[in-house]
Amino acid sequence: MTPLEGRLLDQDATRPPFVVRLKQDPGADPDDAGFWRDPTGAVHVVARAGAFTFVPADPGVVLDGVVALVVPADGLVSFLIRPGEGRDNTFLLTEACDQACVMCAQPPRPVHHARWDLLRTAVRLAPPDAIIGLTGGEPLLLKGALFPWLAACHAERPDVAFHLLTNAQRLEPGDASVLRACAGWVLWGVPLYGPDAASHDPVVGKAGAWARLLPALNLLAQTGSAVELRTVLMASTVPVMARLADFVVRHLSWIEVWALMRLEAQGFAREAWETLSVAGEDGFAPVAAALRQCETAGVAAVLYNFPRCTIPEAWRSWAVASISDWKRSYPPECEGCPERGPCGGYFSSDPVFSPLEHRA
Amino acid sequence: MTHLFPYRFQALARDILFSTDTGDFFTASPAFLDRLVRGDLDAGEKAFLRERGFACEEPGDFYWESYRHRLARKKRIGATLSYVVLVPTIRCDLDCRYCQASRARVEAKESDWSADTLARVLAFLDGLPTDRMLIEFQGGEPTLRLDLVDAVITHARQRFAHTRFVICTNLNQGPGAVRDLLRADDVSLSTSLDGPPDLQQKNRGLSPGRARAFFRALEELLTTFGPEKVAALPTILPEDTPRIPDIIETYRALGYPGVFLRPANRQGFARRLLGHGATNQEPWPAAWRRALDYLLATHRRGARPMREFGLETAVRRIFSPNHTAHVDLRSPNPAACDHVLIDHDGTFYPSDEARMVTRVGVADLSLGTVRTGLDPARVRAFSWSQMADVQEDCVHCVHLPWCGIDGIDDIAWHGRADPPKPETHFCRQYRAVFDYVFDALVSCDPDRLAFLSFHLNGCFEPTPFVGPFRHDAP
Repeated sequence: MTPLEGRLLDQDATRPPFVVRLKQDPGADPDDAGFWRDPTGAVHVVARAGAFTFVPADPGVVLDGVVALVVPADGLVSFLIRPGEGRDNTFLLTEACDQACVMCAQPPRPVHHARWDLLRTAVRLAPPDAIIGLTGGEPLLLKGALFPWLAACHAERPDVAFHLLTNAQRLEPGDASVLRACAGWVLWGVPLYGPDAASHDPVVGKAGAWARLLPALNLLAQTGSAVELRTVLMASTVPVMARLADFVVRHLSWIEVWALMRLEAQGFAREAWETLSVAGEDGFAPVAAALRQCETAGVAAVLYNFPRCTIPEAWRSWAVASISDWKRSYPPECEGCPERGPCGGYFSSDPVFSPLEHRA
Repeated sequence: MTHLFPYRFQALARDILFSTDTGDFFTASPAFLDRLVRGDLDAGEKAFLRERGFACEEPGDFYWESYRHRLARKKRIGATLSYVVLVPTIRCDLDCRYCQASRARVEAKESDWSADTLARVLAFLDGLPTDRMLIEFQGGEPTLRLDLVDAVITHARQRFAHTRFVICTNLNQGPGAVRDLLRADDVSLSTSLDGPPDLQQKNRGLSPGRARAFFRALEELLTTFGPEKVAALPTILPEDTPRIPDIIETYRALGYPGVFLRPANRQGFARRLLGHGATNQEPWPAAWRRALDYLLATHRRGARPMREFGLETAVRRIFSPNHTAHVDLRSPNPAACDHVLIDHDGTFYPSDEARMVTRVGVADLSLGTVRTGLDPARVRAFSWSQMADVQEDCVHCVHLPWCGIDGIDDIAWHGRADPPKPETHFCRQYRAVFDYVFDALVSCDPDRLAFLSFHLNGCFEPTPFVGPFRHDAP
């Protein structure tokens, strides 16, 4: 279980899944459910779909306002949306993917999770102006259902925005009208790992990926789509960083922002950490040059997943506290650090916390 | 099949510099140019040209669309008139040696806006379809008519959501004339500071006492409001170019972040003073280059780094593609499109210089009056002359995508608008600037690169600010 889940005490294979919003003081919405915690930490909920009891993985979790997916058959409660500043609210739509990135934190498998009707209820129950992440796998493998679902959510909750992570491989000219309709409330997070096929395709593990990506980027530009370009910094991308930055500021200057991301030691990246990772201090000079190129050309850039102390001081203002609150940790030496406030910390999976398993 | 976009090239000291209409560029060896012209490029070279924005594989592909997007951005000009220069009076209480502006003596009659002209100026502002407005008050000396300045400011603040006002003043009326105005966030001033007191006294026709009073006023306002709100500009006469280090140090000592090294142009009285012919003094481009060497050398010796704003404008044009606002370096440069001037008698002009050329009787560059409105035929005729992209000399120049065109400057310096461009003051001046930038760029000298970076990003350090622009070294 992740800290965003709970174990359902009344597992029931016959009961269908449902979505509720946990409320200390339930409002008028029929999907609001009152709850109380007993001294053992178990949470008792009274919902329209019936009463249930669960034990959250994180006993300290704040539950008021949480939108939860309850799956009695699996005995699981998942927190889909948590209100409040700095909360990461992301729906995992599928674990399937049509690329096989060498550093994938969540290696693909052919399992879909998109329960569209339930997720639509969750969006309806989201707090005002919520930003909801949509991720995979590759969400656009499901675009036949995803696009109408997005339109329905937007019609019901025009204040909610979506941050959709996609490799854009499945975008086609026929999607133009959908993309135009999404302009202004969908941010497309699209990965790019090099300025040409020779540098990009090996990272995503797919010949021809670059050739499909370029027209997709054109389509996003022509439809006025907001794009967050994403590049993970690792042994294969840092050497092409100067050319890649040049490519971004010249050919993709219309993007919303370019995110330069520190590697996460999960999945494939954890297995191949020693080959993929770049030491922070040594690796930063090419990153600094990329940021300087963006600044000069007027293209917005940010650093994701960097603890501030791993960045030379002059460049710290570019860092964003991007690691999801429930995946973030600070080693003991961070106690009393004056920059702790704005610092995004480390991934809990970072090798500073848990030594890498060395395979023989 | 690789398609090349239109390109230009020019020899640097060793490399060849290539550019496109979008302002993309690279350098390569003469041997590469030969292969390019023969169409004898290998796959890697073709890929390099695509990455640098010089080629596509087929019309409509990613690189083609990218080129279209960059070209549109490069040529875009704000279509909203949101910058108006106002001349409420041409009377002035100084008589400067080089006075560029048309001026009248303090006692002169019919040299200020009438009540009717003021009303029509305000009505003109009311009719502009924008909620952002920058108004610059020039003269003459606008503080001689603070009542008119106040009337415009009060009116504009009610009319526009976002206002900025700049008062161009000689400070001869003392700091009290502008102190209250400057307390508002949207008001700043700009004054003429030619250098150390002796230069200020000589050029501005001041007594030693008045020169001291000017510096006292300037220092008081700088202390209260800081250099962001109290700007200053020098005008440099040919005889004074050996004093440029003194001018720079005057600005540095007053806390200014930089200085705009600006030669006296041959307008108005300055034209009479300087004449048309060549002088035996050092040509401006050489003086300017020496000034930049001085700025770099003093920083090496530990002095606070200073910008030269002419260089800053040029490097922004080259390396920051969104930077299209500076009217000296853009083409097309249409009249009365995003900025216009209204003279003391209510006449529209495309710029301050146009007003002066008209005043001395060389050519009538007026564009209508506040009574009759902007004259579309005159605006169009003038705008067509302000397009380097179709100028027979400029179309071959590798600097075209970053440069501008200024027929008024040509008239002022050469008496006519059609001299061969390479011989004009404008072309010589900006060629020197662009040559300086590209020489520094290919020099690989970390100090000179850091100096360029400082002008772009404010950081005096050698982190590269452009991608790998060099194809092969000769």
